Amino acid sequence: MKILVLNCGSSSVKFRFFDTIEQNVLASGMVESIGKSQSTFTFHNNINRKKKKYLSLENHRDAIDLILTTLSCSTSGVVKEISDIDAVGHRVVHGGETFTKSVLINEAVYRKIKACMQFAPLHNPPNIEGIKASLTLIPYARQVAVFDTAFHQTIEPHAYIYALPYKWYKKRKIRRYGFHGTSHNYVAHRAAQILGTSINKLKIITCHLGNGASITAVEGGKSVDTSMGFTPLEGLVMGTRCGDIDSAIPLYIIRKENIECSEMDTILNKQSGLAGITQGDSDLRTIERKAKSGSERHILALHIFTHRVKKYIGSYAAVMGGVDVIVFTAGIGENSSLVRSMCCEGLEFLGISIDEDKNMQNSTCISNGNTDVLVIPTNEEHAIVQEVEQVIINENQYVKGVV
Amino acid sequence: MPKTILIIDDDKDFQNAIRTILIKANFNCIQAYSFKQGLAAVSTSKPDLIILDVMMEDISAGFRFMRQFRNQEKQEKKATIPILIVSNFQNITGIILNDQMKTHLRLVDKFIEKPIEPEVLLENINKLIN
Repeated sequence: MKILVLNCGSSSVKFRFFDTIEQNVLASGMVESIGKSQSTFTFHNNINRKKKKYLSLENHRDAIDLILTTLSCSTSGVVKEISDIDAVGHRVVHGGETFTKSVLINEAVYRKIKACMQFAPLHNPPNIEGIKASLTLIPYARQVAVFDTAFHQTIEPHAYIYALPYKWYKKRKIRRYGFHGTSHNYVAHRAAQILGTSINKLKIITCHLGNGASITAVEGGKSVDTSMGFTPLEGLVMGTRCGDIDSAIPLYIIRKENIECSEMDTILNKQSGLAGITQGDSDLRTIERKAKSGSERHILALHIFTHRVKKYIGSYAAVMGGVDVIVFTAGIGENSSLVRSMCCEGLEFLGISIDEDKNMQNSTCISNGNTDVLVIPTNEEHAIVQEVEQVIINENQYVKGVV
Repeated sequence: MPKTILIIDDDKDFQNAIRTILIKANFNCIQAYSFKQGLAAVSTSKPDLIILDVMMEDISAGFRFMRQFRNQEKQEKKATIPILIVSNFQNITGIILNDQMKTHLRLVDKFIEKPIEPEVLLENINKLIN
């Protein structure tokens, strides 16, 4: 089966094209700056050629059209015709309470994904655009939705209901949903695989530390708590998002500085986090560099970031009654030995002890205590391919049964 | 001899409404409710026309039926059976049938959006059958 994975952001489309029979990535890449004067297109095919083009792509459909044309072109293409694509897996950020697993997109699913747009007004619309573009350009392929929120649907009410008027949950569906589910699920299963232990027996804390960051308690393979909440704003300190704060602060500032709610929304999502503390630097590599050269504000930002991660590790160990494995993943988690070291400092009482040599080498296992600490590269696209394949197999079995 | 029409649509109410209209107009009807049932029906019967929905077990099941059925006809060197798509596809998805989409839909004889008036349906059926 040939599966195309599309991960559509507000101005980008990441893709990966996979042959499940050969177990081979045929091509991958990304279109960035969609809707801007210069869009960038990066394409890697299976013989490792890369090319970058600078074009003006108006919308997601144009971007996906370019991807499909390149996948089937005579020079660098990997399929004869785009109609050879059997299925398309779409990363959908918010599936609300409706979706607890990946699903084949039919009319009802499509309507429900659109209805979830109210919960993720920045993220779900580009996901819908991706589905529409794919339907227009490859109408013969089956479309599958893989939700960021689905993995966290196993969380119990005491961990997902906020201490707010309960009617808001009933009427407005205000609750913790959690995000990065595909990544947390993938690395938790990889951790069990690496350790050669059944995931059912493990208490794992997965730290997805990228520009967006979240942390999840995974017990017996199921998400039992996660740091992101109703939106991806809650939880850890992020590149430009504040994470946990006293909710009275925005109300106080709105009154004192006489600003609109929309402006506050922008401040909390785009001008806070590491960028807010350092007054502009959201990239952790820059922050580390400046901290090493002595910038107090950057040192402070690093401490705030890692202190928050440590707090969550401690609280999730408490939630699960212990922890067997800590996993670090995503851009920062996979690459910053300093952050990993700072996050785990002082956690010896949980059996967490870092082997600094292994940590510096970015080894898979960086611990020398009772609790394993692993560095596992996340691969959301690969996880989506696996989900799509399973959905199609289940569907074929179901249809056979009906007929 | 009355002509036979195969209706492939997962909406049972719509199927029954169409069936009533077609029987009144002296057509025979065969009904299928999914992509797979549709393929099974065309292999055991010889309809004179197919009325096809797009969004059934999945959002583009009708398109896949169309391609697979046309390939089958080509391989078996059979005469082409006209296909009339009657669907909510544009209303639900917001996708406009632009030129790019029409290229894919060249295998279909006519595309009509639901809801459809009985007279319009019969007029199109008669045009395609004759």
